[in-house]
Amino acid sequence: MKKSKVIIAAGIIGLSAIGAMVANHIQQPSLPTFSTAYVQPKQTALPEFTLGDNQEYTKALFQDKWSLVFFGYASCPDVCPTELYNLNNVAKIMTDAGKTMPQVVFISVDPQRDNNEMLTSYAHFYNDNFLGMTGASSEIDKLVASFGVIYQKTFLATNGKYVSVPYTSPIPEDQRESYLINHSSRLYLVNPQGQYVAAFAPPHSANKIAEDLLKL
Amino acid sequence: MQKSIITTLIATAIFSTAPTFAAETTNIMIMDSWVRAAPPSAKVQAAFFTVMNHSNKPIVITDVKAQGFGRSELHLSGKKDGMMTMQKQQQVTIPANTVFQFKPGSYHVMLLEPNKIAAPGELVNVSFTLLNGETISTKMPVKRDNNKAKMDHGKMDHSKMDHSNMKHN
Repeated sequence: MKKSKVIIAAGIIGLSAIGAMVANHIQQPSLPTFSTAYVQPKQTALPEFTLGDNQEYTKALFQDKWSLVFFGYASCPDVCPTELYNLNNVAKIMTDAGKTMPQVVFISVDPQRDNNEMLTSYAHFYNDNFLGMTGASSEIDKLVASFGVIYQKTFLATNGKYVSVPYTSPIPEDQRESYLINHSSRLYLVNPQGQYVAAFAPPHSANKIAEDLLKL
Repeated sequence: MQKSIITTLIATAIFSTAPTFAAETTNIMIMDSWVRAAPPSAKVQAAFFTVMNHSNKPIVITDVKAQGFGRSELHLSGKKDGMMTMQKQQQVTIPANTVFQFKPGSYHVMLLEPNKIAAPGELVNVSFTLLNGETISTKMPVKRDNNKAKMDHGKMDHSKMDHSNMKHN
């Protein structure tokens, strides 16, 4: 009798320990040792958000698959296209290696000029599987805060100098179509649990990024 | 100096296509030019090329125009406060006896207000105005990328890289 109680108690303790380990693993899945990606000291669960014309993009977007997230804007002539072409090269390397390319999510921080339909075709130009999206600045900023992105509007003032202001600040009327945006150009890695776990700092090399992604 | 120019010239001749333009009076060559293909829904495109200044004087580019685009500007991509930035340049100086690259992530020509985004295979006629008043024109092919065996700089020694711009923003 006593013996069986001990066995049951031991069993409960053992199962709890296993349960705790499993729970812990779900909470904090371990990452491989990356060569170039900067691992976040603490894996950050992404907040609730809604992007897309019909609020179709939510936190669920990041569930059950690895994702790479990049913030930019469609009127960006150099940095964003360079990044998207580069990510297409990463996808080629991954496919050639028989591995799944993480989902690529291009988020425009410029909803005043960009829309979802245009961003979808924009992203597909670089790769059929890439996603392009935007939404209300208040929703974008929830993600911006989680990833630690910074961005601002910048325009040429009449004195020939660039002036940078927060995105939602009013700017001169003649600049409303031609402003530029300064933005962080890190590439963020999100795990299948929807947590921000690592970032690739520029300059980005397709081979280096793929080398780390192949370890996932 | 002369020797290095000759080496550069030979190297450039080996690694790039034939010069797309050589000016009559100013000793300048624009080579290896291309306009990067962009999605039809894009609002801008960028042009990249190599300028060779064979003269002993700096050459200053003061303006640029491209057929099919309402506006064209000389731009420089850079980094500031942990962000990628872009700034219009009033002019770009090509130092004497230099091979100067307009390339992704650096100097480029920003093509704005397109009548229609230029598609791969098309040619875009781009004219540059120099400080001495001369105008030079070149036809730039539209390509998805600059189809050359590109060196991947991933194996570069970054130990001497200046990380002062790196912010964990």
